Amino acid sequence: MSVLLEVEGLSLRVRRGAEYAYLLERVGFALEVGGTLGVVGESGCGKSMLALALIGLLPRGVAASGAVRLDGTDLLALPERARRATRGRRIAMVFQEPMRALNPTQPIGRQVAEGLRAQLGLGRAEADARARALLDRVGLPAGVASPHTLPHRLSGGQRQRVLIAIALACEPALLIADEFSTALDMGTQAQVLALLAELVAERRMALLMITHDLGLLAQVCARALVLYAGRAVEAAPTAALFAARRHPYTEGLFGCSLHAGHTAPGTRLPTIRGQVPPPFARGPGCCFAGRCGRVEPDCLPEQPPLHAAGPAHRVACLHPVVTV
Amino acid sequence: MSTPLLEADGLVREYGPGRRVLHSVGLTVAAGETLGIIGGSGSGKSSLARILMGLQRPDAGRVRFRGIDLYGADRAALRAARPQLQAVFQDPYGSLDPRQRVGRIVAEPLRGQGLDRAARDERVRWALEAVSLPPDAATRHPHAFSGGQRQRVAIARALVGRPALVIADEPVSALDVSVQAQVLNLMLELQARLGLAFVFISHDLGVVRHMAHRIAVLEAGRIVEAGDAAAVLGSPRHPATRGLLEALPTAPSC
Ligand SMILES: Nc1ncnc2c1ncn2[C@@H]1O[C@H](COP(=O)(O)OP(=O)(O)OP(=O)(O)O)[C@@H](O)[C@H]1O
Ligand SMILES: Nc1ncnc2c1ncn2[C@@H]1O[C@H](COP(=O)(O)OP(=O)(O)OP(=O)(O)O)[C@@H](O)[C@H]1O
Ligand SMILES: [Mg+2]
Ligand SMILES: [Mg+2]
Repeated sequence: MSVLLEVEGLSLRVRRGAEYAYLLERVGFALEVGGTLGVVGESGCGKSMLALALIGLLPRGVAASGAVRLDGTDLLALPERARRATRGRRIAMVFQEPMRALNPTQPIGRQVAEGLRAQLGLGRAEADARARALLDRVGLPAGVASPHTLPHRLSGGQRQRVLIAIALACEPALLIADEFSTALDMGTQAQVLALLAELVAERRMALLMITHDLGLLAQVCARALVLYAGRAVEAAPTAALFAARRHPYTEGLFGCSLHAGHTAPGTRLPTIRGQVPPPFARGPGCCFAGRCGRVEPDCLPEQPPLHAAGPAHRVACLHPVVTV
Repeated sequence: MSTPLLEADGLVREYGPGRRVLHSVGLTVAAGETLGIIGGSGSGKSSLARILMGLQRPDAGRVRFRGIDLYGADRAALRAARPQLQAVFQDPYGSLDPRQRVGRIVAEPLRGQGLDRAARDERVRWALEAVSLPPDAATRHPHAFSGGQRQRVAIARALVGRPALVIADEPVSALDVSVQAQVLNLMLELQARLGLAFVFISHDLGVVRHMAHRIAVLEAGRIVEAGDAAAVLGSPRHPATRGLLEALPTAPSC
């Protein structure tokens, strides 16, 4: 299996006055050609920032360090021009907020065709035909939404599907999907998933999927990475994670799933007490210590490093959960 | 029976000739109740929500909130009732003014309520904490937040004034399971304590099952099935409802 993407010691830093804080701190992982990785973690943990760093679209004021190697080339070291050439074609992304990513003044068919023309050099007629075929595949045939429609005339789930079509247009080697299914009903989601599975199996597309849906994680991703407060706290084959979670944070997260429990309607749902410390309020020790039921004095002075907890399973915890 | 809190009938919405997306939709919501609305992508849920929110005049039909016609002539009555009716939109990014600080955005429903500045700030602090946003959130602009954080800002704004009814369009769809549970608990708690009512739109049937007392199923702009939540989800009668349920993946065991 050949490695497509290698992320090493990736940190993202922001400044506020004289203070610095990290939105992401020394995150590393690898993804092979045709591989599938799911990224999970609570809201505000840095999942979208990770995605934006990979595709090179970080917001102003966020500085990246470390390495993001695609086919051995460090993207962080590339000049913007060269980087732009990889975008869409080698790496494409489905953004979390469709209205933010779509051009409000351009018909959707044109937006899908744009990459085909710019990146693959197709002529207008061919690009338009391919765009129409793609829109069909994501459940937006002309009868549902004409290619001439503007984005604001679409429903939330329809916009999400336009974004998916745009991302898939140039058959990228790596697709990053950031909460791509939040407005899709199960039937539509299944249709899109089938398309993604086909691209992974037949074209060896790699998929990095950010999701809060643990069912989807289990269904789609071979491996999982758990982010907490900007740090990778657990990484494992998804099946191993579903069998046994080592980090108390992961265990807490899985315990909150509506599907996991047998909570009666209207009753209180389990939560992880407390909240993710914001970037400027993160101490030197384990970032979960303040919310953890297993905390010990040795958790506080410094960040626990990732260590092996099973085959291809790593955890950053000094007192991991042990299940028998 | 007393008058319902919200009463809609004969709602029609057309986006141009031949593009009718709501066909004579009617529904009621009682005080303290949650009505769930489910349906496939593009079935008309957000179009219906915007009409119920008082933001989009229907092409036909009527919506009354506490007996006041939301699109009627009595502007004064409407102005007085308006803060009691709040909304959470499907696209939080589009619904938050990027130039305003979050504290100001969240305080918006409190304006004209006769609260002094300290009382207003106190309410905003409560609302931000209730949705698990850090205390310094109030001083920042929406762009500096994550997607789920923005969604929570919108929820804080809807709840800050303790309204009677919140129309919530996919309110927790971008939230991870833990924060989602916190927000759902908050909604349930406010409902139990203050008698808040919700219209809760979601494609996540697990969430709807947990929150809704009654459920209406929308298909191609028509309500094709409605009733007690347990009955609609437990023994669906309409093929559209069965279709939505069938596609539910079996939960992985963990
Ligand atoms: N432009 C920005 N400048 C500074 N900080 C930011 C900016 N955008 C986001 N942040 C902060 O970075 C952190 C990580 O944000 P990110 O969007 O990656 O979260 P996320 O894991 O995707 O969350 P969600 O599940 O809510 O989408 C958050 O604490 C957020 O407040
Ligand atoms: N401004 C508009 N102009 C024209 N057509 C529109 C407009 N807004 C929505 N539509 C169409 O109306 C139909 C219903 O859209 P609506 O947004 O109400 O669906 P929805 O049930 O909320 O879907 P989703 O679950 O995807 O959010 C869709 O076919 C959509 O394309
Ligand atoms: Mg995000
Ligand atoms: Mg909608």
